[in-house]
Amino acid sequence: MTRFIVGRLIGALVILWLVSIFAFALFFVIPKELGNNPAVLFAGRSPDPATIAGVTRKLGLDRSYVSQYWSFLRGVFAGRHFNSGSDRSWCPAPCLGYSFRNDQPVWSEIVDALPVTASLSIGAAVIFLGAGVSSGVYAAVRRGGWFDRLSAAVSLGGLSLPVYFTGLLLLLLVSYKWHIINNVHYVDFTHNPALWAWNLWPAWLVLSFLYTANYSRLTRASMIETLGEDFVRTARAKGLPERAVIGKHALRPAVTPIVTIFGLDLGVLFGGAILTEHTFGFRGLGAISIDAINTQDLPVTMGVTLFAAFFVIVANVLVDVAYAIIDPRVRPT
Amino acid sequence: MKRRVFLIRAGALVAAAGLALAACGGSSGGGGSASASSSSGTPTIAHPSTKKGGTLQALNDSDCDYWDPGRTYYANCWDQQRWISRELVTFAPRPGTAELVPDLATSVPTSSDLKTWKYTLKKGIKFQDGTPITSKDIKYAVEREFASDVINGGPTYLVDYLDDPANPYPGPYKDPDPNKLGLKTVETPDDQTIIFHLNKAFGDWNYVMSVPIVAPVEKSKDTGANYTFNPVSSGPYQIEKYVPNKSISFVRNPNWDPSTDTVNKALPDKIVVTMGLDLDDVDNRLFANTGDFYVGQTGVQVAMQAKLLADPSVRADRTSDDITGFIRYLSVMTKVKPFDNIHCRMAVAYAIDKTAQQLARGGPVGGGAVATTMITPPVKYYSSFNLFPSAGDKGDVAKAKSELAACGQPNGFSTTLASRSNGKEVAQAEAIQAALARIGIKVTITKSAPSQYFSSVIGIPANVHKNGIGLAMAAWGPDWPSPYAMLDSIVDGRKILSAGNSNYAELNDPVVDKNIDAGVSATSDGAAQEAWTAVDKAIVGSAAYVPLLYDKAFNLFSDRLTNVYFTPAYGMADFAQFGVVK
Amino acid sequence: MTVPPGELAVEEALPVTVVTTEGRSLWRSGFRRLRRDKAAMASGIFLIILALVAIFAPVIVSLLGHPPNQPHYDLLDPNTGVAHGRFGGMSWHYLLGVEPVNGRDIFSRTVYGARVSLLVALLATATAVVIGTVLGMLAGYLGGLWDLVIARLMDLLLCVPSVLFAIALVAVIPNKAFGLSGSGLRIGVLVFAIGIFAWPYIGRIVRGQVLSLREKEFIEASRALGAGTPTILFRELLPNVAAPVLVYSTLLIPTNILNEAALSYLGVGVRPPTASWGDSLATASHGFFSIEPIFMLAPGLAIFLTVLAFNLLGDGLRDAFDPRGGR
Repeated sequence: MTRFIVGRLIGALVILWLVSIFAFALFFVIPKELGNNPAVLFAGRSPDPATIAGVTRKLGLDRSYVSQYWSFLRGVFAGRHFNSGSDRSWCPAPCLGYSFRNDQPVWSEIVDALPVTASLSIGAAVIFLGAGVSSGVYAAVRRGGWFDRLSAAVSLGGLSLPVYFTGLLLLLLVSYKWHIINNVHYVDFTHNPALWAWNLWPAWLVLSFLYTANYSRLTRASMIETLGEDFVRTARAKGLPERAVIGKHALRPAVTPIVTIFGLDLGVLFGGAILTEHTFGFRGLGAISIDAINTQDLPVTMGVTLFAAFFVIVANVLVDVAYAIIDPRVRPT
Repeated sequence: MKRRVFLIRAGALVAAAGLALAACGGSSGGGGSASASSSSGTPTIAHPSTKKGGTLQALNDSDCDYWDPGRTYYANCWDQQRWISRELVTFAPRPGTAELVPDLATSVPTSSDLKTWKYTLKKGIKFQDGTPITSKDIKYAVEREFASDVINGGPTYLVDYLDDPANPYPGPYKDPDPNKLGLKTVETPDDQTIIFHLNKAFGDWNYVMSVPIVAPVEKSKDTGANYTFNPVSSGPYQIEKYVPNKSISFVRNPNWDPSTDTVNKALPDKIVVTMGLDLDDVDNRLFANTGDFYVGQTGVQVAMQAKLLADPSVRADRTSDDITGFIRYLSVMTKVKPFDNIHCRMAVAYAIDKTAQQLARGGPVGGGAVATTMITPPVKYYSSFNLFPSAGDKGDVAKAKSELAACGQPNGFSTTLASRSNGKEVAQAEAIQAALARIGIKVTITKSAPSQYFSSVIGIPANVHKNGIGLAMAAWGPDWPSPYAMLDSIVDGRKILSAGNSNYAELNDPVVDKNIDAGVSATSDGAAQEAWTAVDKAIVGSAAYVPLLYDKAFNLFSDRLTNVYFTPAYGMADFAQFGVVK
Repeated sequence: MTVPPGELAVEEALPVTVVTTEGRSLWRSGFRRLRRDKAAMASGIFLIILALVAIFAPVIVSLLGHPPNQPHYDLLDPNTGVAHGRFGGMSWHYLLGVEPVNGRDIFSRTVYGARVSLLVALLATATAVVIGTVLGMLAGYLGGLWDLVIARLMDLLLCVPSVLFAIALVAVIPNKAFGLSGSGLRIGVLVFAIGIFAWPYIGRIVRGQVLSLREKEFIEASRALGAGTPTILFRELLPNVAAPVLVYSTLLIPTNILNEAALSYLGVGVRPPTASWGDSLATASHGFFSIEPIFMLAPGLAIFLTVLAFNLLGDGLRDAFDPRGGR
């Protein structure tokens, strides 16, 4: 078991390392090779020559790629100075980059924006996992019934609708036509939990609608397969009530694959969250990265990308380990 | 001044529609300084109140270009600077006037030769840290303007009129004087007195003394290029927290003595500016009263305008519709091919559909009137002419095509149009793209964030050339009420800078420059009028700048905002008077 | 970005049907089953019509509409920017009305938008399929280091936030690169950005399929007959993976349509004035959707119906060629 965990952790570290190289290549190597000066991209949109020179010095852009990557990597663990002679900025660990445009480390911007994205994603995840799994189970059990067919249709709808279209439609109804919420904006949980939830529920609904569909179908398929297994037949043969058969025996093995898929889906959930944030005007990680791209503030984009990748990878490891603990069949020998 | 790209230009921009302008504000003497003349009706203050308290919630889509008073050149940023900086003189806190009144100085002086100007400072004025403000602090602020490699972005009047070309002053960072006060043309015989010795006569000098560039700067707290992140206040408020591009909040400055200040009401206890908002979000928040006013003051978006026009009670109580005196125009870059050929530029001037521009900005209510001159109607010496006439102002495609043939590009060509990334300017850019497509010019639009657009994208000629930007959207208003203050920075060939440039098209026409000088030094109204009309015709005729609209702003504010009125000084509401308690 | 539905449950449900001598009958029986699936057939017809509309867009627009980039200011109220008349100016001349502020024909722009969406989605899918199939086969058949590297690469690509990387990629590529510029370059970048994150979906399936086929007798027989690796890969294995690849490509297309629309919505799609569904939605989202919903409904429904049709067709194909999975 320990070997398994250690193995997964090492695998995760390797992937993280590869992601960092991938990001480094994307933000430092590619621009240079294609004729864009990375200093320009990092300083924020066509700045004057003095600023460009300063940024080049600070980031060490005139050094070799290996040397730059090493500084970057070291900065992540130990913090980093951005020094250009006349001024010096300190970026504490974990230093995922320094936004020269905003004069602050990317990490602090991420920390500021994280609660918004987290609120949106976690809330939606609770809804779609709950609704998805339960509707999938019900559809599997009442296979062929009206609920099964209805949920299949709704699932298909959810998968086919772009999340920002549904979001706009919902905004139109909730804000403009029915005046349920007058001005949707993010309220911090610590300020007012009730208002926090009240402003978020349309976004939760929209984001979860997209994924409920998927999880419902997956659960249904998985449940159907599990229900066809021998041990279920045995349980039925033993005379157990159907509810116990489903609830106690079939549910857990049917649902555990969903957990793995959820882990893998986190990256996609982040993409959905970005779009939803943009539709509702919430200033989360998605909004700051899009802003960063529009103002060519690449440190922020890179920092958020790394952070998101890190988060997804770690979550996947946790999910895999949890899955292995729950289901002995999965552990490698 | 840019307004939200407009630069503030104070001034005698009188709204022709119903806002009166008191007779010439401030200094006179010398030609070229003039306030608008006509008065019609009495301007009123909406929701007057003297009640203090509360937090003023300001909303903005973008941060200021700079918070360093020596570098900012946005109208709404000059208006906001009133919270944290005071100048020698400033504008009277009354609607419909651009009259100057004393602020840090005891009075608004006159000068017999228009070259020597002496100001006496009030007693008891202090920085936010309690240090008394002396004339040396003002001199230091003036000197900073000379270090144009570090401190750039603002207007260049101080260098223009105080520098000695034979012996140019290098700025305080390279100043050999141990006290860094080596600028000889500014005298500070004692802590309360400051005397300016101009290198040529200039009747409008008092207006220059109202611009944030003369706000005092504590030498020990000057951090050069980083001062913009933490300027020291001399005004009624001080910065509590500044998160660039996100928010800035102000609290009361404990060392501001109200007895020394006849201008700032300082009613709210706290001011919070939230930036980086989507413009539609700003409109929605204002409508829902979760924000008090839009800092950019360029009016609501077209969608909200449609909504407000259908709601007469909100429209009457919470909106203002003002002719701001700003000009919206298109820069046609004379150093980017093929616009180095005047006929290619004239092709653009003929092809533009100005009614489409008006529609893009909200029609007559929100967009303004079609413009054919660079001097706007509220500014003195405005005269109407149209060098590129077309039926219904929709553009003359036939003439445009013949101009294209004349410049050797009969089948059109490709170019890039720069624009800001949000708001109505995008719609304007797309309308230009459509209009020029009619004559075969293929336009690619490139958008930039507003806080960087002027300082980094089109304000650096080298970048303009490198990126092949042939066209750029622009807007401008007078720094103070005179055609000189309106036009000089943007069309004078001698004002082309390598960074912080405002003459985007790099127009360098000796006829323009010569007539600007003639206008400034004219001794009679007739001569001044002749000179300024000649300047305007030369600019428009060069087609380096194509006037699009005489700007109007249809603004929305919350139901609790008090003391709302349009001031010609900044071409928008006077923020320093706002309160939030009715 | 979105995930193709039911993708990850696939590994267990892959058909292990040996095809060599029964090749034709698999296809024939599969198509016979497909024909019985009414939803899939209806979708198929819809998509054929859509493809024709996209290809013949200029003809259709010249008959039924107006040039997509042409403004019609006279149709708009100058102060509100909205069209006179109800439903955004819908009439026989302007079938879906006109856009606010510039008065462009919504019908034409929706028709032309189909071109961009379909082109980018199909090219991206093709890219993903080619890369995924090749790498999947190599990983599955050659195993060892190949498998290790390629499988890790697939994991990596599935883990990173693809939307961000795609936006960033568009941002770092300058206006002229690789000999292309303007619209062509932008479409190329979009295809690459979408395809590069989509190929692992195909790659995993192919790899799984090849892994289970590798030990089959017919492969051994080929090897015994002296066939080299390339021959085995392309002659023996490829036809056998063709069916699942076809199914999952069809399911990948709608995902890619949504991805392209998402990128356009975020502002990194094709540049104005080129019509694109995502871009129209983005413009509509700036306030006008509350006054003039048609502006938002046209592109939104266009995306929805196209994606739905591909999903139904893909589901139908999967059910027809892979009876065990999903039902």
